[in-house]
Amino acid sequence: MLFREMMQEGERLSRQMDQLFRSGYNFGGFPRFRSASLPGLSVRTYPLINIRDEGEAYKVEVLAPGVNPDSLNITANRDSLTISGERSAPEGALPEQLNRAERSAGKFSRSFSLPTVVDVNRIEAEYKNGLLQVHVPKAEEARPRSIAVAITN
Amino acid sequence: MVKNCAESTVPVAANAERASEREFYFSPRVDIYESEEGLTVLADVPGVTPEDLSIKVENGVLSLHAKASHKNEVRDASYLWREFGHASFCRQFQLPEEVDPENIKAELKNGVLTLFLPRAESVKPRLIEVKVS
Repeated sequence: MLFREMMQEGERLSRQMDQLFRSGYNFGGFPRFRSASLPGLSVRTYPLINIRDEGEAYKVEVLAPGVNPDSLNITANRDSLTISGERSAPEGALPEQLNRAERSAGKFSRSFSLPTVVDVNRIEAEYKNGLLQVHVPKAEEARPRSIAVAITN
Repeated sequence: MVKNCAESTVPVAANAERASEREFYFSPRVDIYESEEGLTVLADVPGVTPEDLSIKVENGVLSLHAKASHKNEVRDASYLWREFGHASFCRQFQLPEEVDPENIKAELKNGVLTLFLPRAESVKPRLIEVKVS
């Protein structure tokens, strides 16, 4: 009985810790890298993204170091964007030679939706120094419009 | 994690340089592997250009430091979603044995720094011949 209670308590704690770390990069008011020492968590959130609204377009910044540029793939559909690619493991390193392995390797894919419909045909992307910058223009009907106010007396 | 540079060190000598000003640092993730020729260090430093990077080996301590590229930083309310910021990278390692400082090779590609630290000639494994008299 006691044993089961302890197990439940442990499980609850680990779930809470999990939630804390998953949402935790922003406490303290400064964005943080999620810890690489928590198995799975860092892998699940690769790559990290920033999204900015520039009025006419969205700017998506993707932190993706060490990705083979040929493997990068961006697909867009109405208001959603998927970024996928592959990060290769260090070449020529045998498992027994590794002293430290904090950088994960493998295929990744991340999808997210944007607040409005976008112009799928005019998306542009550039990969430089491990940063992927994606310029996503909003669809014509979603762009901000200034409305003239008519004055009548 | 955001840490003070000197505090982010993995066992480091007491005489290691302390960050003089309070600044935020990211500790880059690294892979380190070892071969007979030396150590290879791979570090993720996205957004860093070769000019921003400084690599130092001093008293058996390897220091990696990369200045933040504030040119990418936009400080306004236009962020809809934010998972990372641009801060400097800093990390130090105590090297296990003598390295040959003349032949260290560093390469920066796609935001990953590859550093090769060759073993000094004096610590390379040697075959000792037994003379029979």
